[in-house]
Amino acid sequence: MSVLLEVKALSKRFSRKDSTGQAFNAVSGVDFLLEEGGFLTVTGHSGSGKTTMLTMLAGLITPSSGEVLFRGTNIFSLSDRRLSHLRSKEISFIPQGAELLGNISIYDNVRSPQLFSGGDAEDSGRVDYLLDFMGIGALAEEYPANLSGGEKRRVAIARALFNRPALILADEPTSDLDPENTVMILDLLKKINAEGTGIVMVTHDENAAACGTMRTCMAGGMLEPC
Amino acid sequence: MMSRLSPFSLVIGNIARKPFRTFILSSLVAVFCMAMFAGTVIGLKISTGTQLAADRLGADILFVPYGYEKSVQSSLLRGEPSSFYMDRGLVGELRGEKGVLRVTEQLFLATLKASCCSYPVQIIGFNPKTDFVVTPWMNQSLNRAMNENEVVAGCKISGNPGETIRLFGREFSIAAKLDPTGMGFDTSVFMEVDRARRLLLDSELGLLLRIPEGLDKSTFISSVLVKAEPGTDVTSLVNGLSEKYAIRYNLDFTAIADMISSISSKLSVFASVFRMFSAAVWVLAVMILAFVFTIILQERKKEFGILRIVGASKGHVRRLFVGEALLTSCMGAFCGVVLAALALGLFHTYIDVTLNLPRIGIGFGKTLLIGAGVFVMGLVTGPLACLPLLRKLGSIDSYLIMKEGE
Repeated sequence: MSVLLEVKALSKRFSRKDSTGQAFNAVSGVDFLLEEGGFLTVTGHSGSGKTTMLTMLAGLITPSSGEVLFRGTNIFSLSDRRLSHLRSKEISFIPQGAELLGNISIYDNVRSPQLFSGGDAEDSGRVDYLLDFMGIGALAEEYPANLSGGEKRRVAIARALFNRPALILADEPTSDLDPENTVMILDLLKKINAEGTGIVMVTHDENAAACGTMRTCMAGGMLEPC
Repeated sequence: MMSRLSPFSLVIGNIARKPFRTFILSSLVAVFCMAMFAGTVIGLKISTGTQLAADRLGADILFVPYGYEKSVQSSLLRGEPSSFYMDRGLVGELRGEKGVLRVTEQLFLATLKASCCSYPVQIIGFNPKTDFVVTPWMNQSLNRAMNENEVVAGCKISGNPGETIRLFGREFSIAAKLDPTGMGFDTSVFMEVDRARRLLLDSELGLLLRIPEGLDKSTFISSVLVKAEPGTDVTSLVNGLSEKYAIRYNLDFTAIADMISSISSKLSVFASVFRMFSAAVWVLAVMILAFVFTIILQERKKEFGILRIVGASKGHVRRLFVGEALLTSCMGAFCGVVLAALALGLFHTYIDVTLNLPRIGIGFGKTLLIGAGVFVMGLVTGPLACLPLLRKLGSIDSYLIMKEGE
């Protein structure tokens, strides 16, 4: 199998916002490899650096040191425009809380990556397929404010899948969900992974972490096998 | 089939789903555009109107009975009827003065009603042999001498050439109509001075008119207009003539240019204040919008974070933010210009009367050009207010901030 994602000595240093201004490492020397179609789960307490790491993998913040190689290319060597394009086409991010754009419909939210992925032709069939795949086909015309938490998560996953990415980064995709919705979301992620999409999932939930083919734990900004 | 999703449709969606915010921001731009458009149009109207009035009168010095200077201004500029009388002897005396090229007299009669109009009409009697003020305008529409029962009507007097008009109980035939002058001439009726005098004296109203004691009833007039010889210093000429004749004839005297520039300078102050007010409103609009956009930016960090997640570059986010500001300004600017144009159109008579302006338009082309200029200024208001925020917009780690807020 070829390598999809290679992370080398990834670190992020922040200064505290209090009067001390003390510096600390939110992420410290993280290394790992993810093969094409792999499923890595990261568990850890709040403040352990999981989200900061995930955000760097998506190229949303720059690391203090280290590299993130996506199919051999260091994503931080790319311009903001090319990195953003990569994010819209190849690396999808499912944010915690499944945040959606509130002023456009569910249908438009799902196809929103198309806005920034280079003006591809309309693919209404893809949106319909994804909404049906997620079991929310009837909500296409609704606005995010009218959806439940579980429905929003499914819309966020559908949005992440729109451009057929090679890698999905999921930040606590089951937090605050009831057991029924949690099972549904995890089943969907497993299904997506089975179709060949690589996944890195950050979670508090031990049951969710069990979905992954590789399990890691994060503490004090460092990543270790569980 | 859903409509195509584009950055523009995203901007439209954001604006349409926040109608109150959009209304407030657009209104701010609209108020600025209204003030700027109205101020510029009125300012231009003042400068054009007063200059045109000076050019059209054709005389350099005006003599009227003492106390009637304001009345003659209103009459000449806006056609407000007035009647005042003085001795004609001055005309002959002025002709012999050094520096005087031409001298002519006019007689003003104000009707209380006329068959043409629902308002009093100013009748101006002129001397065709010496006139240099009215005749140039008449020659464009009547190139022959007027008959006994003929008059020439200003462009705003109802009735066409060949039709009749009833003045002081007598029927007159309209020989011709004047082209628009933008002045009192437009609402006046012209006839020979001797005929006008007879008309007045023969009417019942003649008995009621204030003809001062001692005036020769066969020769009295209302004003004397003087054209100076080319190269003559008009101010010196006015001073010299007034020193010699003012007390003897009980006169108000003024250089037309001074009269016009006096009106003009008073109105220019008004126009300047209006322009300063517009500029202040603009600066205020930019500052308030910048403040509001700063608040909006804080409120919408989450949204910008989502846009970054789905693949928007920092440039995309900036363009969407500026796009919304531009569209909001565009709506405000359009409404402001249209409302101001409507208000000026509806209330132009009131404005002209209040400012004592000649009733002259500045032309559709110029109005359109001013409208376009003000619209562009309104349009850039929003994007200009965004400028200080653009750097900040590119540097926020939206996703982390989004999570911190939860």
